[in-house]
Amino acid sequence: MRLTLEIWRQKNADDAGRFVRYDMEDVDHHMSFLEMLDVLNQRLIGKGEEPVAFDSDCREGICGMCGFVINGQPHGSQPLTTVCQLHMRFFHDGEVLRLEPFRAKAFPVVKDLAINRSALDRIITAGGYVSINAGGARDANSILIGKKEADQAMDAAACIGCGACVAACPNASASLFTGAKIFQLALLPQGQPERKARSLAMAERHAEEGFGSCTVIGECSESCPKGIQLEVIARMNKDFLAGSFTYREESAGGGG
Amino acid sequence: MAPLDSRIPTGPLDKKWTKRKEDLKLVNPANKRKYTIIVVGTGLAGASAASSFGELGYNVKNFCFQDTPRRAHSIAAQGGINAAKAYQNDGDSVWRLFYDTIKGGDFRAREANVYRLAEVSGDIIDQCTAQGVPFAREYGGLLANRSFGGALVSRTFYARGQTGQQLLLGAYSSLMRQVQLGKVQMFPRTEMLDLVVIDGRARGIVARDLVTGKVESHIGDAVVLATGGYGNLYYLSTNAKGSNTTAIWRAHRKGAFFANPCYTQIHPTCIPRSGDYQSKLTLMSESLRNDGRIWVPKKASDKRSPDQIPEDERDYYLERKYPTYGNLAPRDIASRAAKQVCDAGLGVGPGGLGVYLDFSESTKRLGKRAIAERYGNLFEMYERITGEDPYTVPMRIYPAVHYTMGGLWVDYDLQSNLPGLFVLGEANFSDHGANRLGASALMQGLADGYFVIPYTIGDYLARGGIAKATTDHASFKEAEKVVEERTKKFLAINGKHSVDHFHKRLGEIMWNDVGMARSKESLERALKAIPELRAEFWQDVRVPGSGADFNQELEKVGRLADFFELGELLAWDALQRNESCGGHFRVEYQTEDGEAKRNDDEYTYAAAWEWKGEGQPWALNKEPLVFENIHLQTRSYK
Amino acid sequence: MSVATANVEAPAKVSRLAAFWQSQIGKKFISALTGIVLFLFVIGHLLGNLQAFQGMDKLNAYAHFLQSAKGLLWTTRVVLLGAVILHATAGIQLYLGSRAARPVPYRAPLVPSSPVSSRTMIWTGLLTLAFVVYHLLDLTLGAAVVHAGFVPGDAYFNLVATFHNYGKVIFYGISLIGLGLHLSHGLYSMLQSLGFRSQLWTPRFRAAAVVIGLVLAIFYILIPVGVVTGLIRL
Ligand SMILES: Cc1cc2nc3c(=O)[nH]c(=O)nc-3n(C[C@H](O)[C@H](O)[C@H](O)COP(=O)(O)OP(=O)(O)OC[C@H]3O[C@@H](n4cnc5c(N)ncnc54)[C@H](O)[C@@H]3O)c2cc1C
Ligand code: HEM
Ligand code: HEM
Ligand code: SF4
Ligand code: F3S
Ligand code: FES
Repeated sequence: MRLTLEIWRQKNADDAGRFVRYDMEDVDHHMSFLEMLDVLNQRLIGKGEEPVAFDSDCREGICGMCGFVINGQPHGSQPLTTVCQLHMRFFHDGEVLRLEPFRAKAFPVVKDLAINRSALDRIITAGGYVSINAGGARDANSILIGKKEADQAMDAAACIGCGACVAACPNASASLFTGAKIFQLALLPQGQPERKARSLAMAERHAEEGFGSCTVIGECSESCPKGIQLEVIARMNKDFLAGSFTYREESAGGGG
Repeated sequence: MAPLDSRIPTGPLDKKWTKRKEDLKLVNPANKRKYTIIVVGTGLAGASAASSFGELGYNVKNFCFQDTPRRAHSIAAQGGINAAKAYQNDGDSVWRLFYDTIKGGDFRAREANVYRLAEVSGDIIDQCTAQGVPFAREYGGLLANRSFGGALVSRTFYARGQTGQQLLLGAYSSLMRQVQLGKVQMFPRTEMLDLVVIDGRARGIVARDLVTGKVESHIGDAVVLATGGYGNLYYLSTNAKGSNTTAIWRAHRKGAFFANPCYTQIHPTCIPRSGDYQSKLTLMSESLRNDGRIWVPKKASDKRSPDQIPEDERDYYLERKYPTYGNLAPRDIASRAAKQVCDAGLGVGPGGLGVYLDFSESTKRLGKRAIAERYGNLFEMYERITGEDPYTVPMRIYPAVHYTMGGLWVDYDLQSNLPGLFVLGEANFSDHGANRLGASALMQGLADGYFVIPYTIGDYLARGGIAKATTDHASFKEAEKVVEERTKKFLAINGKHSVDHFHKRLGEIMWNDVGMARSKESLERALKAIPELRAEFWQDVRVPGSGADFNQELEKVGRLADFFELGELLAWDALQRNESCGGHFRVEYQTEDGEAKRNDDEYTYAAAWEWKGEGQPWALNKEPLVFENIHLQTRSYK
Repeated sequence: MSVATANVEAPAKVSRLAAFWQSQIGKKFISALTGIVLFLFVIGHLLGNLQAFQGMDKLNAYAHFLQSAKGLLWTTRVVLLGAVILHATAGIQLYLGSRAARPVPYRAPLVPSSPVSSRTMIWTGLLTLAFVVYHLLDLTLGAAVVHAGFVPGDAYFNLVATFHNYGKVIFYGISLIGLGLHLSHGLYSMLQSLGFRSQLWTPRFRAAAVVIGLVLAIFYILIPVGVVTGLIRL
C-alpha cells in the first residue's frame, strides 16, 4: 500500500519547525506504525539525511514513551491503542498522514516528534505517592480491600503517563493524568491519610507546570490509550475542595 | 587465579542473612548525608534502591536513558511476582520457593543468595501493598494468587496483566517522593557511557545528556548499576528498544567480571514475527499457560485451519512429554520443545514458525467471562497486533529471547569484584542460575533494591578508605576523553550501512548459532563470524547528524558496538561450558529423549570472565558452587 | 534535564480564600456556584416574561410588583451583578490560562469528538454578557441609543415595541441560542466542578443539561416570536 506522510521536522526547541513530505511505497499491512517509520528512517539514512526523531521503547503499549498526533488524533485513530501498537492494516492505500508532536507549553519539543514530558513527573513528585519508607510495612493481607475497589483503583493506575490526554485537550490540561493517580490512591485505604494534602499539592503543581484547567470537554478520555475515565477528574476536584475547606497545614507538598 | 570469594556468611542456610545483617558495619545517621551514591537505572532494582537510599538519608544521583524513570523496562512485566507468603494454604514455604528456584535454575545458582531471596520475598509484597500497588484481590478482600511455570503451588501475586507496571510505578512513586524531598536528583535522558575507577574503587560515571549531547562526569562514594538485561544483543527480543549492555560492559572493561553470559532465556510464548521489518517481539505472558493448551498438528505441514483439525490429529506435546507439569513446564524446556516440533515441520502459521496456544477447552470449562477476567488485556494485545481474536482462533506463539541470567559477577553483598561497584537486578549474574523461573525477576529486582543493598552498601561506606576526589581527577578527564573520541569516531566513519543493518545481521548470527540449541560447530562459526562483522561495522556503519544534539542513531551505534564485544564473549562462554543446563543447551550434551544433560563434576561453577584488553582473550575466574543443603539431581518435570 | 527542579518551599503566604480563587479547581468551583445563581435567575426571569402571553395587565402587574418590592429587587440585582462579575472573570481567566497552555497551536487541527458547546463556552459566555448589557439598556434603562420610544414602568409596551425591530429580534434570537448552548454544557460541567460524578447519574444529567438548554432557549425565543406573529400585541 502507498502512503504520503507529512511529518513535523524541528531541529530543537528553538527551531521554528515545518512539515516535510515523504512518499512511502509498498507499506506492509502487518507493520506497526513505528516499524513503518523505521523503514522510512532506514531510507533517509541511506540517502544521508537525518532520520525522523520519535520516542519509543517497549513498543508494547505499556511504557508510555511513544506518542504523537496522526491527522489530528493523538496516538492515531484506533481507540485504546498507543501508536506503537497501531498497525498499518487500519490505513488504506493512498492516504495522506500528518504527523505532529504533542503540543503543550509544558511539553517542549526535543526534536521532530520527540517531546519533553518531565512536567508529568513533577506532578507526581508533588504528592503522587504514599509516604512510607521501605521496611516495616505490615502484612499485606492485614489490609482488606474489596475486589471492586481494587479493580477500580487498578483501572486508574493503568495510566502510562504518555501525555496524550494533554495533547488532546483543547485546554492542554493534564487533569486526566493527575486525576488518575489521585483517584487510585483515594480509593485505597493506604491513600487515605494524605488524601486531601495530595490533591491540593498535585493540583497546585499541575497549574505551576503550565497546564490548562479542565472544563470537562472530554477529549482526553477519548484519546487515552488506557481508557481512563473522567470520574478521576471529578474525584480530584472533590478531594481538592474537601482539602481547601477542611485541610489545615502549610505546604502539603512534601508528603514525607 | 584464586577462586572468587563470594563472601557467603558461615552458619546454617536460614541464619546466614540474619548473621550478615548483624555483622554489617553501620553508617552513623548523621553522616549519611555526607555520602553520595550514584544509581544507574530506574527499573525495579534501580528505583527501589535509589528511593531506599534517599529514605536512609544518603544523597542519590539517579540516571536513566528514557525521558522519565517510570518507563524502565520493568514496566513491561506482565505475569506476576513470586513470594513465599503461603496464603493459599497449598504447602508453600520459604524453603519450597528456594528449592524451586534452585531447581528451576538447573543447580547453577548460589544457595545462600537464593535462600535470602526467598526469605525477603514476603516483605516485598507487604512493601508494595503499603505503597498502594493494586494487586488482584479475592472478593473477601484478600490478595489473589496464580500459579506460574516451574512451580506446583500458587505463589504468584499479580495486578491484571500489568504486574511489572504496577510494581514499578510503586517504586517510582517512592522515588519521586525522595526527589521532592531533595534526596534524589534525577537525570532522565542521560546515558552512562563509562565507569570511572579511582585507586581501585568505582567512584563515578561519565554520562551523555541525550538531548544536548553534553558529556558530563558524576562522582560519588559508590556506584550502583541496575541497568537491566541485554537480550537485545539478538536484535529481536522481548526487551525494549533501548535495553542495552553498555553500562555493565563499560564496567566490565574497567575490570568488573562478567559471569555466565551464555545463560540466555528464550521465552516460549511470544507472538511470532511477521516480516523482516520486525523491530521487536511481543511476549504473551506465561500465565496464559495456566489455561491455554499448547499443540501442533500431528502431520507435517497440515494446512487446515485449527478448528478443522480433530482432537486425535493434534499433538499436545508438552502434556504428552511432561505429564506432571504439562503446559507449565519451565521456559527452557517449553521453548526447546516448540523448536523441536517446528524443526520437524509441524509448525503452524507463516514460515511454519509457530505453535498453537488454545483456550477453547478452558473457555468451555470456565466460561468466556472468567477467561476475559484473567487474560483480557493480553488477548486484546494479541488481537491488536495480529488482527486475530484469541477467543475464537487459537493464538500462535513462538519462542523469543527474553531474559539474560548472565551479568556482572557479584558477591553475597551484591558487590562486584571492583570495590564500590554494586550491581542489582537483571544486570548482575543474578540468583537464577542457568534459567530463571517466571515471576522471579521482579522479586529479585525488588529484593535487591529494597531489602539487600540498603544494608550492604552501608557496610562498604562505613569501612571508609574512600579518598576525597573531584571530577577534575585524571581518571574522570581520561574517561571523558575516551567517550568523546568514541563519539567522534562513530560520526567520522560515514559508511554505507545503518546501525540497524548491522544489528540485524549480528542478531541473526546470535539466534542461529548461539540461540536455543548450540553446538561446538555453531559456536565456532559464530566466533569467526562476529569479529568479521564487527570489523565491517567499524569500517562501514553510517551515523548521520552530530554529537551535539538529540541523535538517536548515535545512541544506538554505541550500544551496538558493545553488543558486538559481548556477543563474542557470550559465544566463547557457551563454547567453554561443555554441558547443557537451563538456558544453555548444547546439542552434544543431551539425554536420548532430548533433555539437557548437566556435567556437575566439571561445571558446578559460575564462570566469571575478566577483560584483558582489546583483542586479548578473556581470563576465566571460577566461583565454585557449593550445595550444602540440597543435593544435585537431574531436573525432571515429567 | 533534571526532574528535581521543583523543590519543597513553603507556598507564598496568601489567604486561603485568595489561594482558592487562584487555583484552577477553585475558580471552577466559583464559576459553578455563580453559574447556578445565574441559571436560577434565567429560569425565574423566563417564567416572569412568559406572562407576556397572558396580556399587558398580567406582565405589567408582575413588573410593578418587582419595581415596588425594592428590597427584593436590589438584593437580586446586587447578587446577580456579583455573580456575573465573578463568573465572567473566572471564565475569562480560565480561558486565558488554557490559551497560554498551548502557545504553539496544532498545524493540523485536532479532530474533535466532543460536542461543540463544550468547546465554545467562552464565546457563548461572552455573547451572553454582551446580550445582558444591551438588554439592560434596552428594556430596563431604556437608553435612547437602543430604545427610542421607551416608556418607563410599562414593561409590556417596551417589550412589544422593541420586537417590532427585526434586527433586535434576530440579535435576541442568536444570543438566546448562545445561552442555550452555554447551559447545555455548563449545567453538566458544573457537576464535575463540584466533584460530583456517578456512572449512573452523570450521563442522565448530561442529557438533561442539553434538554434544559434547548427548552430554555426555545421558550425565551417564543416571546419575540410571539410579538412578531402578533400573539403578543398592544
Ligand atoms: C516483556 C517482559 C515481561 C516480563 N515479565 C516478567 C514477569 O511477569 N515476572 C518477572 O518476574 N519478570 C518478568 N520479566 C523480567 C523482568 O521484567 C526484568 O528482568 C526486570 O524488570 C529487570 O528490572 P531491572 O530493574 O533490573 O532493569 P530494567 O527495568 O530494565 O531497568 C533498566 C534501567 O536502566 C537504565 N539504563 C540501562 N542502560 C543505561 C545506561 N547505559 N545509562 C543510563 N541508564 C541506563 C534504563 O533507563 C532503565 O531505567 C519480564 C521481562 C520482559 C521483557
Ligand atoms: C446568565 C448567564 C450565565 C449562566 C446561566 C451561566 C452558566 C454557566 C454554568 C452553569 C457553567 C458551568 C460552570 C462549571 O462548569 O463549573 C458556566 C461555565 C462557563 N461560563 Fe457561564 N454562565 C452565564 C454567563 C456567562 C458569562 C456572562 C460568561 C462570560 C465570559 C460566561 C463564561 C463561562 C465560561 C468561560 C464557562 C466555562 C468555564 C468553566 O467551565 O468554568 N458565562 N456558565
Ligand atoms: C426574550 C427574552 C427576554 C425578554 C423578553 C426579557 C424581558 C425583560 C424585561 C421586560 C425586563 C425589564 C423588567 C423590568 O424593568 O421590570 C428585563 C430585565 C432584565 N432582564 Fe431580561 N428578558 C429576556 C431575556 C433575558 C436574558 C436571557 C437575561 C440574562 C441572561 C436577561 C436578564 C435581564 C436582567 C438582568 C434584567 C434586569 C432586571 C432588573 O431590573 O434587575 N433577560 N428583561
Ligand atoms: S491518562 Fe491516559 S492519556 Fe493521559 S497520560 Fe495517562 S494513559 Fe496517557
Ligand atoms: S479534554 Fe480537557 S477539559 Fe478536561 S475533560 Fe479532558 S481535560
Ligand atoms: S513504546 Fe512503550 S508505549 Fe509505545
